[in-house]
Amino acid sequence: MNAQDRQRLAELAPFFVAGRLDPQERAAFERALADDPELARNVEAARAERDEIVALNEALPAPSARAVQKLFEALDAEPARTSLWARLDLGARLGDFFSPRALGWVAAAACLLVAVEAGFLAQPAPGPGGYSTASREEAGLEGRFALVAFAPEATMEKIAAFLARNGAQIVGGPRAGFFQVKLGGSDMSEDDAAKKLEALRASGLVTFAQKKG
Amino acid sequence: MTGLGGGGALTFGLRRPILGRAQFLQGVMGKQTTESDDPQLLARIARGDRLAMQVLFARHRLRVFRFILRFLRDEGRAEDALAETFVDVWRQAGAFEGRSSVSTWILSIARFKALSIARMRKDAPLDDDFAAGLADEADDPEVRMAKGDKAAVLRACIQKLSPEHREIVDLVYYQEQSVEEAAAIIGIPPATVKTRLFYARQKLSEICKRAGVDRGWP
Repeated sequence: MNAQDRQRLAELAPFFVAGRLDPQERAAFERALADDPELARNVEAARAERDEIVALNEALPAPSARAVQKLFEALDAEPARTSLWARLDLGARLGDFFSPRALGWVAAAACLLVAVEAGFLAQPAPGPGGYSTASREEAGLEGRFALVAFAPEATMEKIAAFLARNGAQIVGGPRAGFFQVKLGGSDMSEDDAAKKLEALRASGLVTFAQKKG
Repeated sequence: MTGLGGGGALTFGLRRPILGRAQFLQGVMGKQTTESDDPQLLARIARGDRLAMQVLFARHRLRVFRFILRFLRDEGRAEDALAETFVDVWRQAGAFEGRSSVSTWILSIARFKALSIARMRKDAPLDDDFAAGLADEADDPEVRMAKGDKAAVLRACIQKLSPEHREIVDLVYYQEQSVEEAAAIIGIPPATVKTRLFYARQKLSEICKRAGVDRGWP
């Protein structure tokens, strides 16, 4: 082994200790280590450094709850993500296939359809209360909601599966550790909402779940 | 399995504090296992999934915060920089191309944020408590030697490294970054990462020698 090889290995010692050499480099390093007392001393020094660097960093404080609050407040102020349909730029793609006149007819038909739907949807609600429109419903402003704190051991996968199974979704939060979960639309009865809430509590995924509003 | 938990800094539930990344990693799983789905989380974040964002934040916040804190030396400003870093993660998630690990990508953003804030506040005084804490750790390796605590001497000597040298040892030993990853974070060639770390370690041995400790290398 020449001086250049020895220097190259000496520089790799910290990465060997940190477990960040690729398998080929690691095998070559281990072979050299077996026959080179200088490299062995280097590795021993690197291990001591690593231990104390980790100890020093672990002694530093953790971020307070203010950091996560600040982050999610900032995210609340972010513009909504563009939908898949918008990303597909359907208008431009339709334009590739149809003439402007044909597109005009399609647009007129769509406006007519929207007007007819609005006529149906803006009827008074069957019970007491005001009017309910589809767009307001889709925006998630109406429906049955719960305030939920997830259990520490609840995994993202389990939560997502449970919500999907029960037709529920997270629509807000966290605020002070609580998420706003939509249990169902405004057509969901209070009994059904209570049952879904009970299922959520029984799932073991939450430490707190309470009807909201 | 990815734990979601509350209490302490990040409160999902009501009972237990969430584990720090290092504690978490030393627990039931290794780094590769816990972070293997980071790219999937980013893909979900790009679609506006806040739960995925919460998981990614919980997973990386501790190490990123501590990395930032070394630059800013003020907990309040470091928390601001941490939040700003993850706002950028939220905004740029769709642009992540997987050419580096997610942790490397986040640390690159965090370093840029921290340096920008540090430059803006160049003349601002240090937070007194934090400065006092640093001084306490950094002072007098000789005194620690007299007390016979070799590990404490080494810790005190590490604190005497230049910021440039301290950054590289932190990135490799604590943040567990490879040569190429550290190069990407700092913005220097991989060969420079290796030589910079080598000289940092030589410097550390010199400081230790002055404090009366022969590390046996180089």
